[in-house]
Amino acid sequence: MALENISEITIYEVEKLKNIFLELLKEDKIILNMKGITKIDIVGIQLLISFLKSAEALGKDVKFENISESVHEQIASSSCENALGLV
Amino acid sequence: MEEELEIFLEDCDDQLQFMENALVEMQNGMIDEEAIGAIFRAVHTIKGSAGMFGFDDVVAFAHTGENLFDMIRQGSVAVNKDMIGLFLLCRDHMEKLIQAAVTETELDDAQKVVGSNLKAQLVAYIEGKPAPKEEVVELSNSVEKEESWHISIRFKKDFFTTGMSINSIFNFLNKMGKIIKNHPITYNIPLLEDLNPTHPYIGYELLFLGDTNEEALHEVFEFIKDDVSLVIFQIDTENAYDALLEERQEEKLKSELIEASFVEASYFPQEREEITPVTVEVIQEKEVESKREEKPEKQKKATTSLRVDSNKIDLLINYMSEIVIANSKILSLVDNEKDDNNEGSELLEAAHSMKELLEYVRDGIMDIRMIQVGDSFNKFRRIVNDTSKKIGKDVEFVITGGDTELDKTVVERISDPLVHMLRNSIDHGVELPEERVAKGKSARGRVDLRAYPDSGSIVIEIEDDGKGLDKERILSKAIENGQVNPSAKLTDEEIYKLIFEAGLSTAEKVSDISGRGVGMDVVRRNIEDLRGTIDIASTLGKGSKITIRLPLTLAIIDGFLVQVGTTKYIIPLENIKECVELSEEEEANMGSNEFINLRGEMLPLLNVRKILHEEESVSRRKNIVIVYFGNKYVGLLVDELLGEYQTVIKSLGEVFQYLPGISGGSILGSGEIALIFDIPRLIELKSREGL
Repeated sequence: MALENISEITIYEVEKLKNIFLELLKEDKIILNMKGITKIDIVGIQLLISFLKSAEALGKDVKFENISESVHEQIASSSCENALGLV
Repeated sequence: MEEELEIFLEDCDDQLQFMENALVEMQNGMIDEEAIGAIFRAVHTIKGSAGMFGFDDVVAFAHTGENLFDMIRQGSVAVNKDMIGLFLLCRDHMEKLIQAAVTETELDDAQKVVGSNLKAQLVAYIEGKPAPKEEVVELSNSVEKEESWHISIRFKKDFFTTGMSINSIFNFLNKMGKIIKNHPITYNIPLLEDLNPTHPYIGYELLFLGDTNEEALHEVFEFIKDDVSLVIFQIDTENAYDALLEERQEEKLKSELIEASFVEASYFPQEREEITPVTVEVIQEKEVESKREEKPEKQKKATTSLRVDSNKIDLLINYMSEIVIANSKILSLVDNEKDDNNEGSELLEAAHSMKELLEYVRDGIMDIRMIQVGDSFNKFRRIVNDTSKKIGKDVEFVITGGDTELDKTVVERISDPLVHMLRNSIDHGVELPEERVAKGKSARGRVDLRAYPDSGSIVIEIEDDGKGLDKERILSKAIENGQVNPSAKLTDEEIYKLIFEAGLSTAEKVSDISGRGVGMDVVRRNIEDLRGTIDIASTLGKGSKITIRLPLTLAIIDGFLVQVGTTKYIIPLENIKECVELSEEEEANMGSNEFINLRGEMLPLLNVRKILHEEESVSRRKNIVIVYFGNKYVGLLVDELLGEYQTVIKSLGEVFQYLPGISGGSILGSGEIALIFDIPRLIELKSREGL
């Protein structure tokens, strides 16, 4: 699914996103379309890691789609590509 | 001046003094790591605090010096004698720069030239003569200096809400050196349903390479230090990773560290894995204990000294003086009360215990003012060094008794006279090396500066092993100047003391150090102002010794109250040996002589009534108070002995301040005024002028 009306995964949005992600976990095939997301911070990265862990615990795969270059860079500068399976 | 600036100035003075002491030691051949380290720290501290005030000139100059000293410290530049001389000059220039900065004035052009000249010399040493080959060696050294550090970061609960970005810390570290490995710790991040999205669960383990130290690394985190938990160590520290595991108490950390190749699996021997909870607890307890032990130690250090404005203490002493006077009044009132009816005994007891307590407080306050003379004496090392170097003499300067304590004011006011006398000793006393060798002395002369307490006063001695004073020359010069009557018969000591008269210099040629005949009289006056005395002994060809006696303190004395005619006098207790009654029989024996036979020895008497033109005695009895100073004794002929009296010395004002033999006055409890005898001066007058 796409994250509608959300342009950043940061401390300002994490509460809202947590609920969205909890819903997402109910789906069989989890695909997170990151189109339109331009900004991410360490709080957002932590949320994504938690999301991945939860999916994994349910035996489900998560696929990120359309990650923008700037978001990728921000994840890289926090050294979290590995943790998010982006390498 | 603002308080901060004053503190800055005091601090700089201290640092400059440390620097000077260390440099002078180095000049004397004691070039060691300690001295170099001390200078480096001093320059560094000055630079740092000047930076806080934005004194750019000071910072820039200190920076250059610091660079050179850093290189010396690391052994890439060797120290030589010229360099020490240069550093002494730099120290002086730095002092001028600091003064200029604080007073917001500009250095004059000459000083500016000196400054840029000095800086150029420093830079020359920094850029140095090293051949290219050596440069390569240096370069490889500097690479080796880079060390590997492990930085473990965990965030505290509120870190995310501080708005600080961890990425900016990473960026900063990459400027300082290089983050070789940056491994996020994610195992603490819970599943989504348990996650409080704004709480930090993530952590980092970093491997960092850089030429830095632990302190500097901690400083990187200064702004967020309350919101992070840090463990920083050099990776080759023994058992460092064990300590990290203990600190973190995270079960998965060990495997994570191995997996991320921070350490090899073999780093942790098998048995260590089996640490039972008990031992862990013990270790933790120990840690807690050691932390507990550390803390009071630190606190203790922090409270060992306190910088107080000396004016505050002076004010306290003034109040104390008034309290002492007021209390004397209470005591005398209570004493009178007791005479009338015997019921006042409780009041009397209370008043006396009050007196005793006040004495403790007084002594305590006076003690604050006492400082060791050593710090002040050490400053003379450089003067001795510079002076002797300038005139080609080789002098060993020995200080003893630096821990002797003396009132701060006295120490400050004695400083200039001592400098003058030391210069004289070197200039006039100690001979040139060849001259000394010809006389069968060692080529190196010796000047001693000693301080020690002696019978209620402090003695300072300056002794040299030079050529001694030439009696004949001094006397003939004094006669020539008309200061001494040619027919007068003077003792050796009296002749020596002539050097303290104005306008008498026997130096054959006038140098810029001494020999103008101005100064020794100022020296004497300064010391007399401090209620001190000065004596001189000398042996021709062997050397001279100047002995200065100073009172311990200036403001309050324990005295002995006596009456002569209708006036009360106070004699400082420290100068009193004993009191005896002068019987009528003895008085008759005395006749017109001014001495008595005291247990077989002649004791010169000083008739206070006669010399101070007092009225006839109201009492029939006469007493003798035997006072002494140094090794001289005199009996003061007085009427009544009134007992011990603690008192405050008050100046008699400009008109009477030079009254011979009187050092000041005091107000008694009854409101009467008592005059305080200046015993050293009285004894001197007695022996000199035959009062």
